[in-house]
Amino acid sequence: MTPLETQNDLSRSVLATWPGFLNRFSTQIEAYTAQCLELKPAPNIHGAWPSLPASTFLRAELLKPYADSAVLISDDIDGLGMLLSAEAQVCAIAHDDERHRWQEECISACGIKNYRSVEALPVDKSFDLFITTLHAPSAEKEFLEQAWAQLKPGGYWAIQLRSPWDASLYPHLKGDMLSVEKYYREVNHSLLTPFYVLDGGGDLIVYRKTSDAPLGFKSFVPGEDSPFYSFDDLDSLNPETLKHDGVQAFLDLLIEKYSGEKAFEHIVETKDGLSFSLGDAGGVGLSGQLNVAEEHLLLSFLPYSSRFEFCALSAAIEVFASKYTRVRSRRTNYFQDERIFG
Amino acid sequence: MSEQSVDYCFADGVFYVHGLRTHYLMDIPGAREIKFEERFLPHFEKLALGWDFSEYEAFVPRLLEENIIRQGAPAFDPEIRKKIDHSDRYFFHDEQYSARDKEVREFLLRAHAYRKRFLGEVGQCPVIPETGLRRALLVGYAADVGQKDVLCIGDDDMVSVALAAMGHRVTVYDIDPYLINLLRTAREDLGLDFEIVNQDLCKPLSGNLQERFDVFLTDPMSNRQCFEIFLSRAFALLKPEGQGFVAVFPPAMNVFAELAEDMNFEINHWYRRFNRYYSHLLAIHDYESDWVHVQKKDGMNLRFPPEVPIPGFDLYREDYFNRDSSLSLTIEGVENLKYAKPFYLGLLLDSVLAECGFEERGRETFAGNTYSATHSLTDDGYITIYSFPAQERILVDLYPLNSDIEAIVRGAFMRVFKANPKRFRIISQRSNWEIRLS
Repeated sequence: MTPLETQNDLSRSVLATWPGFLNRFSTQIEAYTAQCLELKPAPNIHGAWPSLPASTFLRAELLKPYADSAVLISDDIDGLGMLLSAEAQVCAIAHDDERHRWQEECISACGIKNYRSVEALPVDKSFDLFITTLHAPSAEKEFLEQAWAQLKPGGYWAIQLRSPWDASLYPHLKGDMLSVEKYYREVNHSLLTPFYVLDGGGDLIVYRKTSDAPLGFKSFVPGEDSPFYSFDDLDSLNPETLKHDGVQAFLDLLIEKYSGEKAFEHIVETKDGLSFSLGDAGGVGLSGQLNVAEEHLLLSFLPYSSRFEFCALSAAIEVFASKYTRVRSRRTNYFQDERIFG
Repeated sequence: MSEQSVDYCFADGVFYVHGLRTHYLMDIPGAREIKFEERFLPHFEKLALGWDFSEYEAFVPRLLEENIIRQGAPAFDPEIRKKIDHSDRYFFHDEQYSARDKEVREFLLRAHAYRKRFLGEVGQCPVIPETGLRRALLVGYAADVGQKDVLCIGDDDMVSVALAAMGHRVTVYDIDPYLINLLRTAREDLGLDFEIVNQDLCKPLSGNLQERFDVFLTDPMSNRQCFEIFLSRAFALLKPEGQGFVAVFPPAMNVFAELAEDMNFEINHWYRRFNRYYSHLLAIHDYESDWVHVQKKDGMNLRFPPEVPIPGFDLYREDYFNRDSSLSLTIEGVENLKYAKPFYLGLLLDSVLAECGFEERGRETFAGNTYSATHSLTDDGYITIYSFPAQERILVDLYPLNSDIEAIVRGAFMRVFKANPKRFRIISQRSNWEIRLS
C-alpha cells in the first residue's frame, strides 16, 4: 500500500468511533491526508506529537465553533492552526527557527492566507481561542498567564493533553475564572511514522474564560507537576529483530532521533531475552525488558521526557515492528477530579 | 423475570457481582461494597431474578432497612441507568448521531439498566451503549440495508436490543440463564421482537439453523481456542458470503490473523480500539478491543464441524502476554545527600538484592557530572537507580514487582533518603505502581 492508502485505511480504522464525522467529511479527509503527505514532516518535536491528518481534521472541526475571529496556537505541529485559518486569523507560535521556517513553507505551499507564524506571543493582540498542548502548566507559567490575559472575556482555551500528564494538569485548573465547555476523550491520534498510528489518543478539553482574573498558577514542583516516570508496552514484535543487534540498533536510532548524547548504555542477556538501559547526557533515560518468546517489549522511561518517549517509540517501531505490532494504549486516567477507569 | 413467586428484589442501585475470585454486593447510592459469605451466593443469584425469601424471611426487615432490597419484581433501575449514561458520555457525542440513532441508544441504556448481576467468571464485561450503537450501525438500519438475519453469539453487550430496534431479525445464543432472563425482560419492556436461545457452543448445532444468518456478531475471549470455537460455530451458521464482526484484543491481533489464514476466512476491515466496556463499578473499564469485519469464503476450514461436540477447554483466559507490574519510586528533597553517590548506592543495591533474594546477573554504573545511574540485572528483570545530587533527587525503576519487593525497596530507600516524607503519593495502574515521596 502507498503511504496515502495506508493513512486512509488508518483513518477509517481509528476514527470509526466518530461515525458522523467520517460520513460527513470522508472526501475532505482524504484530500487533506494527501496534501499533508506532500509536505515535509514537521521538524523538532517539543510538547505536541505529530498526528494522523484525519485526527487533526477532526479536532479542527470540533474547535471551529470556538474559533470566531482570532486564534492563538502554540506548538502547531500537525497543522491544526492551518485548518482553522479557514475560519479565523491564526497566530502560531513556533518554538524554534526550524519550525518557524517549516510553517512558512507549509503556508506558502498550501496557499494559506490567514495564518502567521511568530516566535513569541504578540503582546498587543487579543484572541477568541487559545490552543495549547500542555504538560505541566506551571512549567510554562509566564507564557500561559500572559496568553490568558490576552484571551477575550468569554473566550476559549483548548488544551490538548495525553497520558501521563493528566494527573498533574487538573489540580492547576480549578477556580472561578474558567469552566469546562467540552471534553473530548482520545481524539488526538499520534503518528509515530507515516505508517504507524499509536493506539490510545490524547484528549482535548475546551475551557471557557468566565472571569478576567489572572490565572495565577502555582510555582512548578518537579515530580508533582511533571512526572518522572512513564512506560509503554509493545506486543507482537518481529521475532527476527529480538536479539542483541536489534537492541543496539534501537538504542542508536533513539539517540539519533533525540539528537542526544549517549551517556551510558547497558545490554545484558537474561533468561527471557534481553534487558537494557540507556541514559542521555541531558539526564533522561530508559530501561527496557525484551521478552523474546512473548515478542514483547517493556519500555520504562525514567527520568521521563515526552520528547524522549516519542523518539523511543518511533525508533522501536522502526527496528522491532512486525505487521501486527501494537503499542498498548496509554489513556488518560483523570478528567478533573474524576477517575475515568474503575 | 422469574416464574416463582416474586416478593423482593435488589433495591435501585444495588446489584450483585460474581467475579473469578470475589463476590459482593455493589450499592451505588450508598457508595459501598458489601461482602458476604460464599454460602449466600445462590440466594443472591435468586434475588437478582426476584425472590420470595422462603425460609429466610427473618432477613427481610434488616435488608429493607439497609436499602439492599425492595418489594416487587426486578425492574428498570434508574440509578444504574444514570451511572452508565455518565460513563457513556465520555465517548458519546450527540452531534455524531441522528435522532433515530439516539433513540436506539436510549433502548440500549434502558436494557443495560435492568442488569442486577455481573458475572466475571465467564468473561462478561459489557460494552457501553455508545459502542453497542456503533456496532449496530455497522450492520445498518433494516430500512436502509434491507432486513437481515443477525446472530449474536453471546450477548452480555445487549447489542441484540439495538439490532432489533433497527428492524432486523435477531437471534441471540447465550449460555448464561440470568442473561437470557435479562434479555427477555428487556425485550418485553422495550416492545421488541427477537429470539433468545440457551445454547452451549460446545454442543452440536441443530442442522436446520446452519447457513441461516446474514451477519454474526461476537465478542469472545482473545485466545486461540475460544476464537476457534466461536468462529467455527458462527461461520457454520452463516450463509455463503455472509459477514461477521469479531472483537479482538489488540495484542492478540497476530493470533487472529493467523487463524484467518488457517480457517480461510476473509478479513474485510480492522477497526482499531472500536469497543469500549464498562466494569462492575459501572465506570469505564480499561480493557478495550478492536472490531474485525470478516467474511465467509468458499472452502472454509472449520476447526470444529457443526454436528460434532467440542471437548471442554479453558475458554475464559486471554492469549497474550500479561506482564508483571513494574515499580517506579521517586524521592525528592533527599536527606543524607552524601549517600546519593554511586559507591553508597551500590552498597544499598547489594542489600536490597540480598533481601529480595535476587541473584544479580550484571551491573553497570555510570558516574557523570550531573547524575549517576546504576543498572542491575536479575534473573527476571532489573533495577535501575538514578541519582541527581544537585536536584536532591533519587529515582528507582524496578521490574518485576510484587508486594514483598515493593516493601523492601521502598523501606530501604526511605530509611536512607527520606525517613519522614511530607508527601507520599501512590499512583497505581494495572501494570505499574508509581510511588512519589517528597
